[in-house]
Amino acid sequence: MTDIEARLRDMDLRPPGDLQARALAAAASPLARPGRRLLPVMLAAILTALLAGYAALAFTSGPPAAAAGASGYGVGEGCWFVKDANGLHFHIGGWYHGLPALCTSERRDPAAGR
Amino acid sequence: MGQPVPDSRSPFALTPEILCARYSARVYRFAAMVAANSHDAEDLAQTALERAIRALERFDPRRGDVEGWLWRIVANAAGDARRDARRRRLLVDLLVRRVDMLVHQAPPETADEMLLAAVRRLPSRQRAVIALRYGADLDLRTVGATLGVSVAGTSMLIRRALDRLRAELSQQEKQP
Repeated sequence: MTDIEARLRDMDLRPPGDLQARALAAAASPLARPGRRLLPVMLAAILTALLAGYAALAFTSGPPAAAAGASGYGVGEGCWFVKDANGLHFHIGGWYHGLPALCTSERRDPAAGR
Repeated sequence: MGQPVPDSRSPFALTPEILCARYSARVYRFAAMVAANSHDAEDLAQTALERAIRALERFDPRRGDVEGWLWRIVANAAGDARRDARRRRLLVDLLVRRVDMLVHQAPPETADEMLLAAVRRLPSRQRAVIALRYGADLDLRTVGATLGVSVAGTSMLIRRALDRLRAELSQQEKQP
């Protein structure tokens, strides 16, 4: 045996006193399944994807302002979101092609009596 | 944790407590040599023992002895820990560029600390054979079986690692 081999064998490497207790305690506890940790992340990802899909569909296939005629779409007539000169507003609305509708204009007719 | 498992090496059944009492010191010596620092070594030793305890029910003495079974688990745990550490290091490097700004490690002072630091700088394969041979105190055959290398290959890996350690330590001794 060479000098370096003897030094490697004689190195003072003592384990911490509680190593055995820690290992036994860790083995006695239920195993955290990686799948369970991933579940909330996957749910959040699915939700985000659905929202992103909805937003994309709503913006591309929602009723355009030009199709609304002179009066535009009215609140309560199928618009959950109404975009006008003041920005984007949320209203309880209806459905358009099976999706919550996103309207790009709002009826300005005061006779609508909102 | 189930029924005690028969151990071909002794008339006593192998329980988690006996496994820990018999092997924890050698598992820690192995971990201290392959891990980057003493904190990681403690984590690795605990994880390796935990995995061995959990796998104890599946141990079959007809398929091999405890030594071979245990050190394969320990070596696999070390491989997983090394990959985790690499991912963490990449992330930290990405965020702060300089890891040593966050983690200050005291330079080695004693001969043992210098030797351990030199072992930890070895390439991973050489570090593993040195840790299994001199940390876990295994014979060449078991070291080779654990790493999937022939006895001759293991012997050559160890010789190269020892040459490298000798060269590095003699270079350090020459420096003021």
